[in-house]
Amino acid sequence: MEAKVIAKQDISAWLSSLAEKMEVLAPVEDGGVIRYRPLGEGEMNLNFSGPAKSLRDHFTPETETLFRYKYEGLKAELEESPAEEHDRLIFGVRACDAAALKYVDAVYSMVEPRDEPYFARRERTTIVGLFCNNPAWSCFCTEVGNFLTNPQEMDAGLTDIGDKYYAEAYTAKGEELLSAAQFEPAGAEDAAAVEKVKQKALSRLPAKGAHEEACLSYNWDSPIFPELAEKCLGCGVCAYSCPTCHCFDIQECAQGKKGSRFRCWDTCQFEKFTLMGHGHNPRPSKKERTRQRVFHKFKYSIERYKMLGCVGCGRCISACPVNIDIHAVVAELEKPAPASEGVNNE
Amino acid sequence: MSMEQELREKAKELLSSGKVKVVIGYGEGSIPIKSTPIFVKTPEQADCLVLNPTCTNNLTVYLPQAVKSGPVAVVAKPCEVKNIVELVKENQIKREDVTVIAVSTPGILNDAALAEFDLLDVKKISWKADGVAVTTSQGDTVIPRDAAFQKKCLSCTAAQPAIADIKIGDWAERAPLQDKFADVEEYEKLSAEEKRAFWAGQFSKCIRCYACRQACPGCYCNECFVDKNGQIWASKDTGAESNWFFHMTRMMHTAGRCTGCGECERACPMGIPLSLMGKKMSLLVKELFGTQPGESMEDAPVFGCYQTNDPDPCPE
Amino acid sequence: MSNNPYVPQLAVIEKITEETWDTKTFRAVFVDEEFRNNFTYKPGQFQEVSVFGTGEATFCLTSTATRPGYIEFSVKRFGCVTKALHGLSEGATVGVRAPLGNCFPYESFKGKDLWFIGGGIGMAPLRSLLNFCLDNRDDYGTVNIIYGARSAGDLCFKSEFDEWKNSPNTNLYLTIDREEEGWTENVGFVPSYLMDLKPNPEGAIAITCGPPIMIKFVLKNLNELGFTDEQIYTTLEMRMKCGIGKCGRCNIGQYYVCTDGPVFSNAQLKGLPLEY
Repeated sequence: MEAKVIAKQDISAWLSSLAEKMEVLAPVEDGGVIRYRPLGEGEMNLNFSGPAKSLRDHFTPETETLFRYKYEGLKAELEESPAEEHDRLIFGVRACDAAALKYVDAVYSMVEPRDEPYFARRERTTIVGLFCNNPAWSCFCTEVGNFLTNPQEMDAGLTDIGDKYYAEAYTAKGEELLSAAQFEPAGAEDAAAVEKVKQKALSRLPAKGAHEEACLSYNWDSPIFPELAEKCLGCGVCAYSCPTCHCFDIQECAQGKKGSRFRCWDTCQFEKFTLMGHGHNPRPSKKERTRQRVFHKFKYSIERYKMLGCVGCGRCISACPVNIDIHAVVAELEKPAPASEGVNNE
Repeated sequence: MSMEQELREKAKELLSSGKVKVVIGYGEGSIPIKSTPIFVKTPEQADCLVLNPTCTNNLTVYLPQAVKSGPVAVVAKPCEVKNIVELVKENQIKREDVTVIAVSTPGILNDAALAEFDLLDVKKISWKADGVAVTTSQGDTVIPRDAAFQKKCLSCTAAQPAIADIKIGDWAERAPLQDKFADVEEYEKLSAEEKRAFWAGQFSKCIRCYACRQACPGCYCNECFVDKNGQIWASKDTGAESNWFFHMTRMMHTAGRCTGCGECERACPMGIPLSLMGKKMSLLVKELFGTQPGESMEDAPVFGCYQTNDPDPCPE
Repeated sequence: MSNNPYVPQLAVIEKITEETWDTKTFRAVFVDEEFRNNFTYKPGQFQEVSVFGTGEATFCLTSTATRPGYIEFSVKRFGCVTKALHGLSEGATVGVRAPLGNCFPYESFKGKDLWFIGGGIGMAPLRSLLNFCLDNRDDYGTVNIIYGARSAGDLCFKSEFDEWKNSPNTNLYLTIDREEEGWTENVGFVPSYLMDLKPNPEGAIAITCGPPIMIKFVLKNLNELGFTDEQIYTTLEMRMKCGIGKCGRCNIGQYYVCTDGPVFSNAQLKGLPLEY
């Protein structure tokens, strides 16, 4: 389909018309934090380089009831939570956040059974992206993918070219969206403007890395990890701000003879994540836990899902209270080993 | 000699004399707008120590773990020395195991002050007489003090620390630029109902990453009440009640420990104004127990010392 | 029926056997008749058992599908869910998500001599394969069971010892750590008893499970006896929640114990990082 443009002032009219048919979410500023939230829960803010939170909670909420139960004497009864049944559109999604969905899709579907509560939401959600004009200091999406020029998991994508947005559709759903009255065909000057914007954005970002090959020779005993362990606070900021992190805990909420089973976010950075009932912990210290995080994203994911577990959104880097920078850590890990002296060629 | 130079010299002395095994200080971060905690173990590494407006972390959070491998020196700003005082009084560390390098700086940078800068282009951040200089390819821009510094620094008087082994910087008492408790006063204007609504809104953002707890030197429990999984004290869900319960309990547990260093609030990725709670608590502690956290080695620790006639009101 | 994989099937505890002072074996029957009739599983697989009001925990299926109609799991009292299970009486309703995980490659064991080497509660996952093999007795060579525990009182499945012993071409070697009055079998640790018994590695398969320290020395001793890593199988234990490769906590390198395991050959284990 040919590209379209939409005047900036028409965006809210367009979104309002969509909101009649489905729930519409967008980056919204509330209490100083930008999050993807339903329109109306604050001021829409599209001039950002990444919301504080990724899309994660819209597909796997921080807390999600799996079912309810009640029991009386020896008998028990279950009541399932209804599956998600409403359509949604998430507008203004950054390319990194959209690309992360491809990874989480793989995680939640590679082994049967699929994670149905996740896919119920996923399949009812339309994603309209907004490409970055001015990537943040911590961004490195171009190094782990090429999402600015090769978008993933977006139905349509917009680029800010001044007083209007340049819009491209990538799916049939996207085409239908861009056929709304507010859009008109893009001209040659619009295409040129987009090219300029993209080039400028790309100039702020690093070149594509070679993690797929490099990860094969990561040093398990690298001195980086004991060093990181010293300063790592052991909080979950990195994991909970990450769009590809997907680990969860399953817990019980009991109230007398009824209650619910829920899942909630959890992270490999917490000590109890792998602690077994009888006291053994395969990842007993922050050394093992920081290594798990880096290896999971840059090595295990390539081996298991044939894709990187990091989309370079940079949130963990900018949010880490002690400046642990996964981009720098990986660079260090991938540094060619210093040539050893006087060793034969064996 | 600059403060940074002086710090490096002192660190070298401490390490080469064998007085300490490690100096916990700040090193260069992954980008000039950031510094990062470093653990200096040899006199040579001491040249990696930096001291500039980005040195925000409260390094005393590392002490209970670090002293297990031998005597430690730690770089601490005035509010953070108070944390050491409380850690010693509460028997988490021994006074003789810690060499306190008390550093009085002009103030620490508030991240929001850099909002207008292209952070990739910032080359250096340094103190200037009237604020903070941000060096970019366009040259230096000076941000005035009241815009540049964190709130806690604007109200700092650099009062003499209760303990210090080495003092660096200007320790002449200064007039605060701001009232430390101005935001508590604003808060107190709210009705009980409004207060509840305010916190309910704030806590609804909480994702339970526990960055506040982990960054806090007062939160030193081996096992936090929320992490107990034999007997569940607090649910791991992020519902309103659970989040409320977590934050309120944590606040009660840091009574008499919270020195207002503000690291919990800075570490929070969701922008919850946690310092406000801490400050409110420290006012209450002063009112009820007549003491301020970390100001003296003699005052009994508020949380660790129970008396049958302790006042017991319910704070709003 | 639910397509939500986190919703368990209800099952009624039909029988509880006190194995030792801290271990009980539960026999459960699925409430849903259709599910019960279609339910099958393979030796080595595991399940997630829910006690409503307390939570869910991971147990191996210690029964075998060759004895259909029910499932069994053995529970050593450790944490809150195991304590709650121990508090249940016969007739109580629990939740079960099963079967989960891979299984022992029992097809490839056909015609081989089998050595089951178990310690304590580690006999539970072996029992599934053992009884499966005894129910398909002609498919396998000799069946040899080395089973040890701290004391005679700590041995599980005592009621089945006679059945095992009396099966054709089957040997049961019991051992306990210290001498006890009335104990006529071997005294000593499992790994050293293994060395005394000197199994012939030719055409044999060894399957082991028990405390980590026992497994460590059993693996070493088996290698010493001439067993190749491809001839040795074990089943791993990790903290699990989802059991279906999603929740991310039981990984060893790129592999998830819940879906790529819990059964691993020693050859596979040697290719994994030592983080289990």
